[in-house]
Amino acid sequence: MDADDYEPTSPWWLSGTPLEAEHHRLMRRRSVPIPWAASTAATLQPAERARLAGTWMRRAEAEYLAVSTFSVLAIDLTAARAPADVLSLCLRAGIDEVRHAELCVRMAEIYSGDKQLPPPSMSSLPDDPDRPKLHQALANTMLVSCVSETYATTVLTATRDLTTDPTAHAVLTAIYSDEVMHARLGWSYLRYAIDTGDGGVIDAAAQMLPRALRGVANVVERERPVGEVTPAVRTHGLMTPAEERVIFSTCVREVLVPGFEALGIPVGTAIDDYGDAWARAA
Amino acid sequence: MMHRGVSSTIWRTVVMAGAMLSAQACGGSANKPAPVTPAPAPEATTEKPADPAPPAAEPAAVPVEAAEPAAAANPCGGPEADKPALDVQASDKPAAKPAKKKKRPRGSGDKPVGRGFVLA
Repeated sequence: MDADDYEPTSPWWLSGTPLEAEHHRLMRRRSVPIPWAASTAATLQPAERARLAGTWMRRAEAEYLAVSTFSVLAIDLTAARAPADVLSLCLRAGIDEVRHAELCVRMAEIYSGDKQLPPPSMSSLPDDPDRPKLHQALANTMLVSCVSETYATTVLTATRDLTTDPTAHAVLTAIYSDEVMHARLGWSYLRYAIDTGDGGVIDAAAQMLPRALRGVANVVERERPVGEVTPAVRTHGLMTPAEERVIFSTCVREVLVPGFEALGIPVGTAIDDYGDAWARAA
Repeated sequence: MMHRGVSSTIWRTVVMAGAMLSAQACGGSANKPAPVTPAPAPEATTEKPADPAPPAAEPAAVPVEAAEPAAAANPCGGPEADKPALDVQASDKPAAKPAKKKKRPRGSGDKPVGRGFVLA
């Protein structure tokens, strides 16, 4: 299978206008061929398919929300006159998220048979017009990219490792390969801001860190779609809430805290806040 | 359960590659460019700029996908420079109340939210 095998991912979500051709050009530009016909969904029980449809639809909603997350972040970065490469990659991330939302909608359709769309939604980021633009851009980049996207890459990797269904594995791989750059964007901008900004940059980063970690933990802690995570369900790209807690805790301890410390950003009680006790509280 | 190598992979591919390596190491520019002073904002003027010289020749053909859809930029009129009269009229009016500080477009919820996070 090669890139020429591209097919519209979720044609029921398109406008029916000539824009579709240009949309396909954009999507094909970073397309990873997905073996849609190789899905083993038919071997699952109805309850298992329903559980997976619920999860993939939730993922579609999250990816759709991320389109506006990066759009709003781009406003902050533009206001702070971020470097051109940071701006272009941030805006490209929004396009990546459109592709991810389509992939997840298609996965939900595979398990449910329903051609659904994600509900309308728009992201919101902290907004304080009185603070320096650089500090706001930096703080929101930490939230969106350094913490949220870095955790996303971690949980995607772990989820993909237990996925054997070829279609789900390919979709998770496609999303993961983009998320790595979305996360790297934040760490690069953080480094740039520290190197070029004033002394307040470190303080702004340190103030955002506990909020950002709590914000991601809120999502890890929330309830999941109804249905058991059976061994068969796990092979289609799904893990339990308890496993996700361990992954977040490990990510904080082994990736995020060492990264922020290496850049001279105080991390406070982050490791204790999301240590073993938190990980086992599910 | 989480594979032992996941953290080190993410550390290497995300944190190290993003914050610890130089652009040169990743195939980027070798030297950091000197800071560039941004151009000052143009001063407001009511003078109409001189008409641009007519093009010497027809522009070369541009591939459709690379061409800038000029009409899409402002399909209802010309560039901003064509509107000095409106600016003059506006300046004759009494000073308006100071603009209210507007919040930029945001989601409707009361808590900041994005993919993967909900702030308290």
